[in-house]
Amino acid sequence: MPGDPARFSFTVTAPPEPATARLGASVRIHGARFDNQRVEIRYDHIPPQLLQPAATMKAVSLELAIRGRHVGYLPGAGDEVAASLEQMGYAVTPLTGAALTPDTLRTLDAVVIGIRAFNTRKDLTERLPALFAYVEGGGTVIAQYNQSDGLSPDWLAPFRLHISRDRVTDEHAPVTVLAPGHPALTTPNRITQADFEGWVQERGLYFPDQWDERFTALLASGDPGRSRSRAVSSWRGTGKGISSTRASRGFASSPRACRARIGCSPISSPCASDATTGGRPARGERAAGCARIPYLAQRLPVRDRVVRSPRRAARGLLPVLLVNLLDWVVLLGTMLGIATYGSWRTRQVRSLSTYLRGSRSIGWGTIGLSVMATQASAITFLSIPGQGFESGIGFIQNYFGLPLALVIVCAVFLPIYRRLGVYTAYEFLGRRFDDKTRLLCAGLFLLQRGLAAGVTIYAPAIILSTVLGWRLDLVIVGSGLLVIVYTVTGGSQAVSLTQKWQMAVIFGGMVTAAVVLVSKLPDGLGVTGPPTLPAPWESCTRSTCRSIRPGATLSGPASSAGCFSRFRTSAPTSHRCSATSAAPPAREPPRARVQCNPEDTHAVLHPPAGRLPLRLLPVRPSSRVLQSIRVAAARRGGARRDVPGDRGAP
Amino acid sequence: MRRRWPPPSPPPAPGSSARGSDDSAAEAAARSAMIEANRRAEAVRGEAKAALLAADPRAKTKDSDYVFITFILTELPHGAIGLLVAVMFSAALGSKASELNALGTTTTIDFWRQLRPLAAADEARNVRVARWFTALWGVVAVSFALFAGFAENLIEAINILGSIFYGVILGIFLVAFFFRRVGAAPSSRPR
Repeated sequence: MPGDPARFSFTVTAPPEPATARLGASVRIHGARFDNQRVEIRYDHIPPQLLQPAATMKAVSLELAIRGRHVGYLPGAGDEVAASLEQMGYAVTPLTGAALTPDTLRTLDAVVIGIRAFNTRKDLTERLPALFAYVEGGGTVIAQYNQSDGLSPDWLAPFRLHISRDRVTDEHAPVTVLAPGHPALTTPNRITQADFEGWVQERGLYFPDQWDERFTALLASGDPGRSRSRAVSSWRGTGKGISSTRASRGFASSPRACRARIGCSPISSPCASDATTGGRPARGERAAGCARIPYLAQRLPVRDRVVRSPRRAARGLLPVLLVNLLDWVVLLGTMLGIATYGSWRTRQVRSLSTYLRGSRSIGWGTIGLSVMATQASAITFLSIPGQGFESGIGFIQNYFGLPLALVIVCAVFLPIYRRLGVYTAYEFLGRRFDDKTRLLCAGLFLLQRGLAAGVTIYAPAIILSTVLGWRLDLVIVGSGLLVIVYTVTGGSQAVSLTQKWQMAVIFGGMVTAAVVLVSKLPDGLGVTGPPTLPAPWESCTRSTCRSIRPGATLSGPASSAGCFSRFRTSAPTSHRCSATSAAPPAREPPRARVQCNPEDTHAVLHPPAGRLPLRLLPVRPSSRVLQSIRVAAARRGGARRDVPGDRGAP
Repeated sequence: MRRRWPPPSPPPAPGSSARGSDDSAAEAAARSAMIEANRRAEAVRGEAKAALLAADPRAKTKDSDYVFITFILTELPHGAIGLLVAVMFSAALGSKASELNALGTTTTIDFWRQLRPLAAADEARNVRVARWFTALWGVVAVSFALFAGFAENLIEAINILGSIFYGVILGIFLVAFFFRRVGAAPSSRPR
């Protein structure tokens, strides 16, 4: 049935030689191709993020030598090493601190300690002696990285090992192998320079800076420009098999580049899908370079990096929707022109009365426009049409009281203010009552309006930046600075001057929108009257329903679009298109009306919109999701465009 | 070619012909078809909203604020798009400017001049102070806007708190304007 999830299983056979492949998924619906996946990032400390990167997965066929069979895994702050180990063919036993007994350890070939386990586990330190004894007896322990906070250098390893907060932030920083022949780097798989290619985020961090002489430094790395390499991983050989304690950053000595900790948040779990390609844990198994872009996109909380896919910059919704140069000229021309005009004309205001109240020579028309401009905020123009769309225009009666209120204000209050020559209504209160009343009311006003002042800028900015793909903070700061400049320069006089011209822009824009709106109404609804020619496709391509003359061939281009493809491609029981004959209008040839199901429009909203359009948070992914919705809509539109090929069919 | 989005409630093609046909049966059929189509469009919208909520329970699914701007971006010719975006900014700047002016005025007159009565004589200084206050409120507004996303609840709380006092302020003004005598000690009367 439409809307149901479908699961397809298949087996991929790996080639005998080492190779890397990219597996992609794509589905074709209504002639439109969907090939992105949905990635959800949900943590308590950040707003949920939904991403839709390309649905690809990297598959690696690699030569991997395995030594031992049973591995114990002690989870830390969270990584996916256990899953990777199982993929490699190990039997993984989950451990807790309490399970670190000689009896348990005896059955294990190696123990892997999860990232930051020493920081997050309370039950670990007291059991360390058993673990150390296990190493002493020939066992292998692999510890991934820990943070130095609150860690005693004596806890981490049998010998002293002090962890610094050093990090190597350049992911391309060269790595020097200090002990090339060391078993940790050669058995069972050899670590080569190729294993250090294609890392993400950084080379490593929390490297040890002091260690017992019984440790061997294996690898060194440093950021370019630093005087010397300062990162070392440590390894200890007992001569009896290999036992290791590596308290440094896990990936500093293993090629699991994708296990990069990203930012300082739990988002930094290891790259999930690489785990499915046979990830290698901390033991020096061989690895091909990790694919990074998908992981970055999946894991990074950093907005800019998340939303930018390599091929398509996140700008606006659709290329055709971007405001072009002409729009920019009009927009910036009017806005900057009005602001410049306002501040230039009023640059010589010297008296407080003119600055705060404007000059008494301002005409009534200007004042009227000024009142209108004050009353009409951007939200009026953005939300009110939406309200009409949602529930009709009955709410307009709320505005009927407004002229009445203004008349009362003009007839009753203003004459008194003017006679007294006050600047503010609170000054009047001060004269009428006392200063306490005046300060109370003025203070309440400042508190209320002052703190709500941001909303006047913010509310339209969030909508415009979401839809246009502009940066929210730039929109806010830009428009805020503009208004500050001319308001501060010219005071009240500049305000009313600019408002006069802003109202002209508003009226001009509204008239333009109204003309376009009426001209775009479907035939029969607009001022053009009933259609003179029956043009079923013309009106249908713009709606979710379509009319087709009976006898029209549904194969060919038409059948590849819209609900017909549903009909054709899915089981007959699952198509929900119904063909009913409408009562034939008198002067028209009879038609069959084929109505598409809501699912037909569903494709417009597919892939599911993750972030909401109206989320009042200054995060960019919303525009990204809008973009993908748009792209889906456009693809669909593209499919529809094929339809007129059927027009000649009757 | 630009497309409408979100998909509008479908204007039924049969309806348009029905209106010109003087055929009441066709008209009724077209009408019910349109109502039905509209209902289905609403159902799709509801479905999309439900999907959003499933993806993010804290999601705000009010999409109607985007209707007009989407119409502008998808249907208007270039140039007109710029004009209409300028309309939005004009409206925002217009009300913002009045607001800043009012805030600056009240701060200067009711607070600064009240607290520093001697400064009232120096006109140039007064203007300078008023400018500074206006600019200050502008900066406050911009910083609030920058952090409004994080301070959403705070702003809501302030609005609620402020609305508690609306009645009080209205009462004060009504008394000031319409009562000749009040119980406290009025310093002077307007008439």
